[in-house]
Amino acid sequence: MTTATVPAHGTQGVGEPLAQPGRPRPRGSFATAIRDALHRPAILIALGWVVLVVVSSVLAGVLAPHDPLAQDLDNRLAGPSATYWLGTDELGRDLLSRILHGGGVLLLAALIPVVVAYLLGVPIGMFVGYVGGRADALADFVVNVLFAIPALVVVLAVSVVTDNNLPFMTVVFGVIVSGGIFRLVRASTQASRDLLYVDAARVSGVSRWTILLRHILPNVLGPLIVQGFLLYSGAFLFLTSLSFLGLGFDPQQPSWGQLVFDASAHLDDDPWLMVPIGLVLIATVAALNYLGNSLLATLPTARRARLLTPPRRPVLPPEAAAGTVPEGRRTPAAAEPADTDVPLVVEDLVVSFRTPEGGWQPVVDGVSFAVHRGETLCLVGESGCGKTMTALATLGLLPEGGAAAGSVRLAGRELLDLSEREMAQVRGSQIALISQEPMGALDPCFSVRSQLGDVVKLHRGGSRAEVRRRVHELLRLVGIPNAESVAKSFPHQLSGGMAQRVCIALALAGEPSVLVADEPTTALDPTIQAEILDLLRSLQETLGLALVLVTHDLGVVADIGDVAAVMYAGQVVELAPVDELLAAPRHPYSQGLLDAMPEDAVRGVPLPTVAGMVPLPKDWPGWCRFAARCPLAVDACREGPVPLLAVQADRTSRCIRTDELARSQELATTGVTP
Amino acid sequence: MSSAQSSAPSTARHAVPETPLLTVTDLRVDYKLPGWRTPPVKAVDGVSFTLAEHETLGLVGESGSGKSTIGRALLGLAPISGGQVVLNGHDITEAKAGDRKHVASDLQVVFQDPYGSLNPSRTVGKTLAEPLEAAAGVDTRTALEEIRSLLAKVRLPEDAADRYPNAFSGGQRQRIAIARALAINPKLIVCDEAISALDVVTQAQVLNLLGELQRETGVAFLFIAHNLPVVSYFSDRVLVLYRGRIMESGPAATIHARPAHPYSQALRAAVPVPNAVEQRVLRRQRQEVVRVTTAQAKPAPEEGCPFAPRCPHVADVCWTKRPIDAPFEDRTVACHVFDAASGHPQAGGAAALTAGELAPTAG
Amino acid sequence: MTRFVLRRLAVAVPLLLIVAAISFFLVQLVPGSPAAAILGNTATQEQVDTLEQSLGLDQPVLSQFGQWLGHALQGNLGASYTTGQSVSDALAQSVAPTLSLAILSTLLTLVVGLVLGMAAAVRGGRTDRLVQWTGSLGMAIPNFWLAALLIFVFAIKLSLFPAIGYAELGTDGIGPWISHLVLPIIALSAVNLGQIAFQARAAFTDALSRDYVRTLHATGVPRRRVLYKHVLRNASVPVVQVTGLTFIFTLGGVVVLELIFTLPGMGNLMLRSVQNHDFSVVQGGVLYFSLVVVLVNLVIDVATAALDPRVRVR
Ligand SMILES: Nc1ncnc2c1ncn2[C@@H]1O[C@H](COP(=O)(O)OP(=O)(O)O)[C@@H](O)[C@H]1O
Ligand code: SF4
Ligand code: SF4
Ligand SMILES: [Mg+2]
Repeated sequence: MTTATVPAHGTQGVGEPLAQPGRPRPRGSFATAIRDALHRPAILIALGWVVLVVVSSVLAGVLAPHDPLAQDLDNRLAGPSATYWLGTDELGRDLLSRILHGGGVLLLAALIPVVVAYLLGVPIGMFVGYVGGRADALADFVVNVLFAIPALVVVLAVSVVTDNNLPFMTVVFGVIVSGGIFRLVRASTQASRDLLYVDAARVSGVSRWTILLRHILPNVLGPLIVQGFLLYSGAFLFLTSLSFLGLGFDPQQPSWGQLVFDASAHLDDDPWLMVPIGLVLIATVAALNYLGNSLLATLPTARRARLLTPPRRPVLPPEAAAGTVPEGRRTPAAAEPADTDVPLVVEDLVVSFRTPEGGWQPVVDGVSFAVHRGETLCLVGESGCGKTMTALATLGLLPEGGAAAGSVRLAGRELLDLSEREMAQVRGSQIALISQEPMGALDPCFSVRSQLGDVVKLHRGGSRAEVRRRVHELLRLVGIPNAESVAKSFPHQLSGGMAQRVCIALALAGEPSVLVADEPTTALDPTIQAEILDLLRSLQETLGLALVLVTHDLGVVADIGDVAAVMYAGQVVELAPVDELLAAPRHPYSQGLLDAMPEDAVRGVPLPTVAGMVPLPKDWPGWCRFAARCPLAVDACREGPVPLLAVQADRTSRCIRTDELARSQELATTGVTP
Repeated sequence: MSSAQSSAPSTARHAVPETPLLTVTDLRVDYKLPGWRTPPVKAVDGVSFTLAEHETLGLVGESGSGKSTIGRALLGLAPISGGQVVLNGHDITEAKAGDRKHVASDLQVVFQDPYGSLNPSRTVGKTLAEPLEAAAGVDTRTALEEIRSLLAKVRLPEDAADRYPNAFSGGQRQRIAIARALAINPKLIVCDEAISALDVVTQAQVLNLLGELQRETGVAFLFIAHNLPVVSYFSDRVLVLYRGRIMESGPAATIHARPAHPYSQALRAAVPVPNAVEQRVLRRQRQEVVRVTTAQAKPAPEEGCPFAPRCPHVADVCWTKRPIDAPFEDRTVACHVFDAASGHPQAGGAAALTAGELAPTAG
Repeated sequence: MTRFVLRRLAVAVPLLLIVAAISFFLVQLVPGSPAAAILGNTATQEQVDTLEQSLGLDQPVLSQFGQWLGHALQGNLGASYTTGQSVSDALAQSVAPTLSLAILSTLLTLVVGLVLGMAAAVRGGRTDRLVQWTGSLGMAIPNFWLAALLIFVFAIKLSLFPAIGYAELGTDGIGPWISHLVLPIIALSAVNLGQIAFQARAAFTDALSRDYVRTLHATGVPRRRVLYKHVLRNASVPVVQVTGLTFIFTLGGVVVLELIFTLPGMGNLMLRSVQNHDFSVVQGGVLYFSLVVVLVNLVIDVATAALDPRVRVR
């Protein structure tokens, strides 16, 4: 029955946006959203119907062709005719007139529970949600009681007690459903209470009520307005049920529920009676729900991309596959296709995302590199340079809407041509991934043993005991001494460092030859970071892994990297052995990254840093993409795309002024005495 | 990096003035855990320090060490269970929400998460006006003027005031948060991991901005972060925290160059340096400065030294007796090795040897 | 887990006491004497007094409550004012149809709702729109009207199912039992189905965007396993919770549908007692219904805790 009145408690926050660095949360004002919605025809129709129903109920006395109570016993159960447009009932009363007269009280009375629920639920929910503690526990208990009360049954009882007093019954119903509003408001208030901007307001001494009104109420308002519609339509349905049961409404006067009741007595001899009233009821409730749900859809929530792989892998159309530098299929193959010493070769990789306009926007633009056995290649750069997308593309795990082109060869096999099914067999057993947020990377519903055991079973099979033994072995391999007890734990019981170790064990379960790690230590403390780096290195040595490690920290690169590919705006701008890169960068951007490290900086002396920001993919210029921030930029840099140029035997740089850079470095070292 | 740095003219304020700006004595913060039999977590366990005007004091430690809780306790955002906080001569330990208005004009904050710290549904202008109206009682018209100059101070365009936070990048938002903190000319700003979420280039930009603003306005900073090199670059003095207690405190440059406490050494060795040769040395060292990894470590003793499970110098006394704050050179170190009377076998002499061994970048 | 269940039980007990108090005091609110209401306005004061005495209504309210509660704990809810039958017996006899209807309908909505929501979230596009439209339509059809429609089509026109009445599962067997319940269950489920499908759609959309989906893929777990094992379980948690909340309203629907399908359940009993001003039965009925709600919520809590270990610590 009135399920629409139950707000989604427990699912609050389900669609809640996570703050995603680099990508702003879409957030428009509620008013704009409503204005937009008013331009949609379906919404206008729904709104029109509701207005029509309200107006015709108000004007029933004028509009109705007959007295709704006037009996015409000669024309009982008559079908539609010129006199009786919708026919008559068992006493020959005009159906149309009865429908026109039968909605008013219902529509009006349904407002009462809504008002009661809001008057109770909103202030109490906001208050206890904000102050918490005992008041909160008490209010919560009361609401639990309300939720143990079957509304209709209690209202039935109330109808006996109050002798069918409709206002009283609706108020009681309002009190019972106020629990839903209370929970909605309380949950949003609690979620907002600890937000940092609320803290900042507190620090400034903003009063409690101002904080509630200014920072918290707006977060609750949207959902509340939406809920109002759903609650109203639910209350309306509820009252119609009462009227159907013959309760609460004057039996002498027509009301919609009663009309259905009367009609149901004549199902076998006059089924038509059911039709007009049914359509009116359904259309009214549907219109109200539709309005509510459309408002819900306009509420600003950032939808995160689906991460489930599509059954068929998306393909970039040829014109998009070339990226933005069409002539530039130019990097010499980094290795022979089947060279067993070079398990992973990426060539001219392009990653693009579908734009809302239907085109493709490249975010990775012609990236090439190769990784040797037992070697670590670091992808370095600020966020938004395309490191993560490059890493994910090698595993065929781009988020929804993304597609890759170019070439990714794993042990000589072209991965981009594989079907999703074939790719699934490659993942885990030949190439595996470690991601940035270890806590989110594990399924919260399954124990470590179950998740790890599944993967072990998938790749090597074996009896339960064998799988279990292997799980413990893997956990010990990643430096967890008490493997037994960690295996039994659930992800939420692990610390960040421990969770990352489990993730590494998961990645190793299928004994891959290539490991891709996307900022595996960024979310961790320095001490844990050091441990994880040590672990990765020792695993790499014992297992001969080829490691691709994404990071923005040149310290991490120095620690674990053999080769580094510095990325900027979707391109590799410098590719060099780590020792050489850090000793003498050959691209101004690499130099800028290095200078910004506070390691050797002197207190009080500003850090030399790169001004400005990484351009968004749509703002990439047609020339050197770093030019806008480059201290060495000259006109020549803006004449066209800069290719990767060889600067030494094993180094390339996407800069035309590497000599100038080298000279300035020399000046810096010789010019300043230590 | 030499120890002479600590008295470099760029940062040297006069010696600590008679009454410090902030005095924290034996601060304790306990968090109750759900369930009635679980003992409370001692997030901050008897921490004392002072902070002078114009000074930057760094708080460094891993997550869970209590550094953010200290900041939040000062700001009235965490419940103080013991000790005393005196700011600018006023005891604010018990300052209730209503009294914060007066505290606010002296004390402001910049948080870590640039996405969560600005209300997405209010324009930057309104966000900046909030402390002006609430704490300084400025009317909206004057506030507008102030906001313009604030935005200029943090190098943002004037029209930023009319835009919503989602129009800005992480670094820009952090500038807005800084502008909000500066709005009412506080004497002290708590920077709670204000740069930890930014990548290295933006981090440098924001650090430079904070430094400039400090030179211009003379504001003092309580600078909280988990990265020792960053903290020592930006601070005059540093407190190294572990599990709610101060392990070591002293001048930033010396702690960075020659950490004395075994935990400070571990922390120092953990942050890799962007130089392949030096990092190879540091990498070897970081395996020597801890006995076991965090994953292998036993739980810390209730009494005694919290670092005992991982410390390479641990002795029996460390498991049972809480170290005192022993003076060592120009700092204090809460480790039995540095306390001649502690009963630790290495007590006294070994300390000077250990300290400073770990300095691959020094010289 | 055991501790979790015990904790939940500990909360359920005071809850039931309060609900019992509410159902008792509700009747105390009756203006005038219940005895007068039972006897009608032709009765003399003397008759009323005698009846009051025999019903124990002349004692102080609190001691009445104490007595009633004491008896209720022993399963004795007094006698019906009108028929004299034991209230507990009357309720016990009518509990089976009500519970069959409510529980079967809840299970059906849960399963079908999850399937629809999953299809909408995973496939998107046309499937998504289809689910949303049918869900919205379902939510808009009043169950009593749908019931009448179903009777007309399937009982009167097609004679596939009986229009009214109930068959005992124990004595009549499963076939007749189910066939008497099919139409009521469909009528009852339509509204909830839309609601649950919408919840499921939101829950799946959320679960599909979680990082662990990527981790599982990266370890080589095939798409279907990721979907049917991991995403399904995670998405079920909020959906099961919401099902618990909708259950109260399902019970309301049961009352209406018992009337239409003349099922000898608690709803019909309540309706009759309401018309006859039979307060003791109304009182007992409210208590019984609440008991069912509390028990179902308990089951839901345990079910979510079994699905999601994070719930167990709360
Ligand atoms: N799902 C997506 N849809 C559209 N653009 C995206 C999506 N995910 C990432 N991008 C864009 O791709 C670019 C590169 O992102 P990413 O690879 O995450 O960079 P990095 O790892 O270097 O920080 C960014 O501009 C980002 O906004
Ligand atoms: S090509 Fe020019 S603008 Fe680009 S990095 Fe080199 S010097 Fe700077
Ligand atoms: S007190 Fe003992 S355990 Fe603690 S740091 Fe000093 S030597 Fe190590
Ligand atoms: Mg990234």
